[in-house]
Amino acid sequence: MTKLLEVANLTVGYGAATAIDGVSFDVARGEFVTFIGPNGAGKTTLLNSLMGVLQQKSGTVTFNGEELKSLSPETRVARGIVIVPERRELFPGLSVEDHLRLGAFLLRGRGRASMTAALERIYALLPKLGERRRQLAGTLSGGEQQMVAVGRALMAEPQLLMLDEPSTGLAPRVTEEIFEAIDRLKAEGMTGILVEQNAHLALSVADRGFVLEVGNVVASGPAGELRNDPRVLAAYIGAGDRYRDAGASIE
Amino acid sequence: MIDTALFLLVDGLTNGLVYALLALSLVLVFTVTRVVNIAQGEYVMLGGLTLADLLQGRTPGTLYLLVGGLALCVVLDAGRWRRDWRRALLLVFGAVMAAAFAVAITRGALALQLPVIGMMLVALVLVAPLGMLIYRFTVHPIPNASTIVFVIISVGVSMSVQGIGLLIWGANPYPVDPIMPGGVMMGPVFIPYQSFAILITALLSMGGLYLFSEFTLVGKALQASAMNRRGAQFCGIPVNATGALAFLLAAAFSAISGMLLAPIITANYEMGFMVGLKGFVGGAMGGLIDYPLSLAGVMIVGALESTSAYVASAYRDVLVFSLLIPILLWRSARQSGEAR
Amino acid sequence: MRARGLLALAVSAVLLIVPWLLPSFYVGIFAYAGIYALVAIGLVLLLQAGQISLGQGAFMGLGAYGSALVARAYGIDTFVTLVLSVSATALVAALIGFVTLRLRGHYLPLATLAYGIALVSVFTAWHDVTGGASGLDKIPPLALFGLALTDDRLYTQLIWTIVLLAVLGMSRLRGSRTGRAIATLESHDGMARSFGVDTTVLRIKVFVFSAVLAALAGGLYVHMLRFVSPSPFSLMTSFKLLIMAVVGGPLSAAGGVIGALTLESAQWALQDLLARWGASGNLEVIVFGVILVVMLLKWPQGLWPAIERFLPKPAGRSSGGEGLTRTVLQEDRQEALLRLRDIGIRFGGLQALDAVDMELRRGEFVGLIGPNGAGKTTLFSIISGLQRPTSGSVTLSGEPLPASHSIVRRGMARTFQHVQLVPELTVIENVALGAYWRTQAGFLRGLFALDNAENRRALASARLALERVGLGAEAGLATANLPLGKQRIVEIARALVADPQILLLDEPAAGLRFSEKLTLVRILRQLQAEHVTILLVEHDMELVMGCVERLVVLDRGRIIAEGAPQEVQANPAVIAAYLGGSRDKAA
Repeated sequence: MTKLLEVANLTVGYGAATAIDGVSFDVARGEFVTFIGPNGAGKTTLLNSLMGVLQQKSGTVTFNGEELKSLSPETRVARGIVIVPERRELFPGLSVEDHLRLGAFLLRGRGRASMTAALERIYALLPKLGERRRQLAGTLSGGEQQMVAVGRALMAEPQLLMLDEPSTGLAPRVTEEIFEAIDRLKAEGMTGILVEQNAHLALSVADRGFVLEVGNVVASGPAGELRNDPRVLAAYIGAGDRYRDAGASIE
Repeated sequence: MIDTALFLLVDGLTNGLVYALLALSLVLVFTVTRVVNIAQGEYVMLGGLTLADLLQGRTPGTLYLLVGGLALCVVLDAGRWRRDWRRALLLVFGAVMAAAFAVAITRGALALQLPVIGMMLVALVLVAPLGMLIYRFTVHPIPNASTIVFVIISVGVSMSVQGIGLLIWGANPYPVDPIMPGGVMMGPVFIPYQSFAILITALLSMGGLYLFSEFTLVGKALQASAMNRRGAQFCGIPVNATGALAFLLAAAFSAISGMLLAPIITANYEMGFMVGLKGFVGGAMGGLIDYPLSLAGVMIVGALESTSAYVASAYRDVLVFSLLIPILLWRSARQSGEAR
Repeated sequence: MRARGLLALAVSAVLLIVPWLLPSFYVGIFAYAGIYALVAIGLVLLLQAGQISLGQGAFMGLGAYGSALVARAYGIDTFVTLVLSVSATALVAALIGFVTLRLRGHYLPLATLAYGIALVSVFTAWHDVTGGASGLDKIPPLALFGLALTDDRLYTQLIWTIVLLAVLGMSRLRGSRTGRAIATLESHDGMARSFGVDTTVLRIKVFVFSAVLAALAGGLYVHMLRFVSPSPFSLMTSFKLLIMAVVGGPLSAAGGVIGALTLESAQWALQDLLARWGASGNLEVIVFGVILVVMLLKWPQGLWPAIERFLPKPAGRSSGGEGLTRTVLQEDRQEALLRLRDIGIRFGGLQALDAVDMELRRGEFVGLIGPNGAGKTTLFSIISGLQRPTSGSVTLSGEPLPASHSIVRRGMARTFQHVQLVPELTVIENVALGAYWRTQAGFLRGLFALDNAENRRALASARLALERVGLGAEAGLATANLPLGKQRIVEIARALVADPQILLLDEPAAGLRFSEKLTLVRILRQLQAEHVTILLVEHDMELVMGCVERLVVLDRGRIIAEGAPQEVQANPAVIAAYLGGSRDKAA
């Protein structure tokens, strides 16, 4: 299996802070990997850095054999890396269909028939969008907005689809629908990176998983094994007493 | 009495429509790039004076400005030479072609002695790209700067361009022919054909912009960049290009308004500034983000201008600009109310 | 005397002698430079406060016309008319400021543009009184105690004396309580309010002060020229003043002076050059416009930082001796300091918090945790007074929470998730902000250096707080150079200086390395031993478990568990909340 994405020793931070500390991993074509961990672990930072929104402090990211370095986000989309952002980043005054069409902005040269076919595919995958195609994004519910973000990303025909905490703020039923869609995408061979706080959900859909805790990978392996790994729970809730012997005096 | 009222109405409407094109430009630029473009009025001046030159058979100084700007652009982007010589060559080639095209069109127009409308189009070709160049020099390097920085920068641009206008054309006013001389009597009021031209152009421009924004993908992409820059990037939309496009279109609209205005007030190097500011007052009513409200605003400004010019002419400017403050307060309060 | 002070004295002496050394033509230019420098100093202060004004020319005009017209019409001593005119302008500025300073973002510059033009248009329009566009002559000269100041050189010396006094005042202000508060106005409004600064009023004060300087400059201008007309106070002048402030740089009043000198000399040199080439008109504005754009693109901090690098470092204000009186904290676990009753908040259709009941007792160390989206941040902003709940009540020591900038007075101080330290201030100055509500010295006392004793005590408190958290050695450093871990501890020191009953900590461990977290834990434990009541919001579970006595767990806007760390860790509802339910639920 060819490696679509190779990340070596990635360190990313904001100003003085370090959010990701020397993380390395790769993703093979057709794989769906997930990064789980509590908030503040650096999951969103990881995706933002892969998307070119944040500059990396050190390390290399290679996609399809090409080093990404400091390419802008829009250029990365052109290369085939697309993200469904945590905050969705929709256009409140534009309709659902507008969003989908804009998702295929780079592919507009293919002609009207191609665009229409692409739209129908998305509406088949996410029927709720089809029902609301003229509705303005600003008036949609949280779940519907999330679907628009996913649909928009898919219209760009990504080689690598990155999903940033798709279940955030969504009711369980809506989350179900979204993850069913992700299942179907996976079955069609989509390569993806899923970042999630909800560990069970993430591990039920991914092939492999990584557990991030404050910027470091503390556990990794096939999803099935990780599900029962106590280190996962420890990452969220804390198991040991790292700070027990910290003491109380200032040196 | 009715005659006067009608006259004032027509006068106000005409004024308002000229400012409308300017308000359109301001809103377009602000929504897409977050720049409060105090220099927007200068394109009005450039449009009017370029047309004046062309109609008098002279090569407009604007041509040299354009070529110089293109050259500066190439020089600044020379940093890419080391990385990618193919792109650099493309850039130089593009710039040279653009310059050659501009020169050819100007020469051709002067030789053929085109009528006013033809010369207007040529002037447009010369002035509109200047907007794109200014975007490249001032906004493109610092896309995430604060509003205050952009305001100060546009002040600098305004000063420079106005000074360049003085340099090229001097302080004298230049007469400009209207598209069609004369006019028509409608009841008690005489309406010059130029006023109709202004009305039609304003409507066409607004209609054109609306159709472009709503019915083409690029137009939607422009709207998208205005609503959410990050989101637009995630669609692969080149946000720097959309910014440049906004500046280009805005410069075009403003230049057109200058060419339409020049026969009425005679073109001179200072004409842009005040027009620009009046456009601001109107645009402020829409908070620089709402097109219909901005248009309503400029109509009010136009009406106020003609009535106060008639009633207490010395205080006309005072009234118009004092009006701006309550408008801004209202908009600001409304915006923070919405944000909550 | 310190090296920097001596240097300043030397430069001042030179500037005051210059009028006598220059040929008479250049004295005029030097005088104008001084007049503009005075306005530029005010503009620099405005920029430091995060404001901008495109209307300073109008205030100059108000000062000029006010003094000139009254002196000319009524023969009153010009010294008196100048004072009256400046005071009147201050009142007008206060009114304008009160109305316009609530404008945010791009609206404020437009408003300054508006009144800048409107006021100057009045000068032109009211020609019965003002002489209209052609102006009025026979303006009386400046007279001090009956002696008319008509000698150009002496006048120029007066102008520059005033300029230098203004720079001195600004430099004093910078090191004072008000000066520290002003530095927060640009981008740390919320933090400033949480330490008791009434940012709205302070902005108005800064605005009025800059208008006063402009009016004074206008008055000096008009009594030197003995002629008044609207054109010197036009928008173009306001633009030029802006360039002076930008060229010199907004970091220091001296920058304004440098900007004025640079621009005036450049203008004269360019005009001379252009005249020689036979060009007419104000073409130098082309160069100025380009300079403005280039400066903002490349050197937004202006020329001053480059110059300052060669100067000896300024000595900080002294911080020795005793600090402000501290409240002695008792341990009294019974008293509930903070009570939240049935707190609910709705955003649009979303109920972000629902039926939250919580108590914080004196001396307790409580942690607030919960998965992403649980509502911790919202609850925290309600507790710290930044947001009002849609239902329920928050009481502090039995009384409802007051307005945001009064909360610190009632004993609650906080730190911030994204560190809110002012980069322009040193570490100890940042920490001293915590003492804002405990001190009184205002704008004028800071300006005229009448606040020494109080300032020393405030700084001493800051120093003591820094030592308490182990950062005593870093007091004089620039905050930008500190690693994040130390920055967060500086925030804690600042909160301690506010002498709080309750310390609110907002994710203090975010972004820290393990060693920094260890230090943080040590400090928190020490504070706990000193009976400081602490509420901690955090994501790092190990850290929270290792510090707090009691945990409150939030999920989807409700409290799902409460108790000692070990209990909560084992609570199945908590585990489910964090890890998520499984997908295998049959509908």
